[in-house]
Formats: sequence, structure tokens, C-alpha cells
Amino acid sequence: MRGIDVPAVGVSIVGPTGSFPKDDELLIRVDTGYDGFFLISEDLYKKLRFRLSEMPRELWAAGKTVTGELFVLRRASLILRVPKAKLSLEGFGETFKGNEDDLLGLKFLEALTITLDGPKRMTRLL
Amino acid sequence: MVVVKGSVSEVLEESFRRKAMEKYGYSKGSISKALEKAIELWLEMEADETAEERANNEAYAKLREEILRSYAGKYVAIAKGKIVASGDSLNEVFVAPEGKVSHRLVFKVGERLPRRERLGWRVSREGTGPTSK
Repeated sequence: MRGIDVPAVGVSIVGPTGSFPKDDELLIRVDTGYDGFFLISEDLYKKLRFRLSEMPRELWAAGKTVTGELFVLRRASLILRVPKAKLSLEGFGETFKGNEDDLLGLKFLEALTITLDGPKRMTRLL
Repeated sequence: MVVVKGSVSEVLEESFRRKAMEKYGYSKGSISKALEKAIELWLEMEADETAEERANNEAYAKLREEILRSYAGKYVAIAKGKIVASGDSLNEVFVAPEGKVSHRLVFKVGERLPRRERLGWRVSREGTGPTSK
């Protein structure tokens, strides 16, 4: 993965309204500080209509920041495709009020072998 | 600051008090801080719940045992308060809902998901207002 300065993986998001992006991939930052599968910005959660694939409230989680703030995380079922690795992963996306970040977390990384090449600024899928 | 009065069970009160003190210290004000946080989180949970969402969650609660018995390991979709699809993969239940639907529950039956997650250093709250609808 070249062209951006952070570890990132190209994915396509499959939700209740189809795939996004349609014929391309979206570069999402990888963050090992985030425990979950896919943290979605509120805007993207709305745009991809994840209210049509939400999990029951009793399956939602509480998210805790490093400063101790607690957020209720809305959770929805989704599929992440990793075209370059020819992978399709069933998982969940979550968001909270005011979230502007899209992040791939530890749960997502469980399915992949990747290496980070700092000097070359590359994330390699193996 | 105002005083909020109400009654809760002794068991709940005891565990609340214990947790509040663990988190905020054994000093004056720890119960108030914990109570304020609890009310904030509850309001956040309730504030942007639509009628359709409430109906689906109530249906899930009512059907939970039956769903666990009959659909273990499968994906299930609930819309307008009833089960509308099931299948072995998410793709099978992502079919377009019939009619006008603004909320649907889709989940894998019996899947155990973490209830608490670390969000890391990057994440903070930027704005306010209702979550996407």
C-alpha cells in the first residue's frame, strides 16, 4: 500500500445497500490501539445505511478512550473485502456520536498477515 | 448541581457504590460522578432511538430464546418486529428489505462479541447531536 503516510489497507465495505466503493477500494488506516474490527465515521455509517444491519442493542459495546472517556458504540454487521488479498471477512462496524475516524482494529488484523515497512512507507499484505 | 432522588435494588446500589469508588476513589463526590456518567450514557443510548428500532429490539428480546434454539450459528434479520430473513452468510440476509424500512437488526446467532473495547489514542469525540439516522 503506497501513497499515504500511515499504515493502511485497501478495503471494500459490503453493507445492506451493496458495496462501497463500487469498483475501487478505500484506504483505511490500521490502528492497533483500537480493539475492534472496523470503526466507522458517523458520516459513513449514515451514508451506507448501517441502520439497516444493526445488531441488537444488548450486543453493542462501550468504547473507552485512553483518557477514560466512555462511549456507546452502535454496532452493525458488515463484510469487509480486501481485494489485494482476495479476502472477504464477515464482521462488524461500530461508531459513536461525533466520531470522524475510520479505523481497522485488532479484530480485523486477526485475519491478515501484514508487514509495515517504515523506510519505504509501505504496508504489505502477505 | 441538583439532587436526584429515586429507588434502586440493594444489589444494584451496592455494586454501583463499589464500582464508583473503585473508579473515582473513596472520597466525597465519587458517587455523584459515577451517577452523572451513568445518566449521560443512558441518555446517549435512549436519545436517538427510533420507534422502529425500539420495536425491533423488543422483538429480539421477546424472540431471543426461540432464535437461539432454532437459528444457532446462522445470521438472522429482524425488521418491523419480526424475523424476515435467515441464512448461513451475511450476504444471504443483506437482501433488500421489502417496503419502507428504516431500521433492521442483522446478527449472527450465538456469536460472542466483546462488550468493552479500547479505542486507542487517535479517537476522540468531535461533535455532538444525534447519531446517524
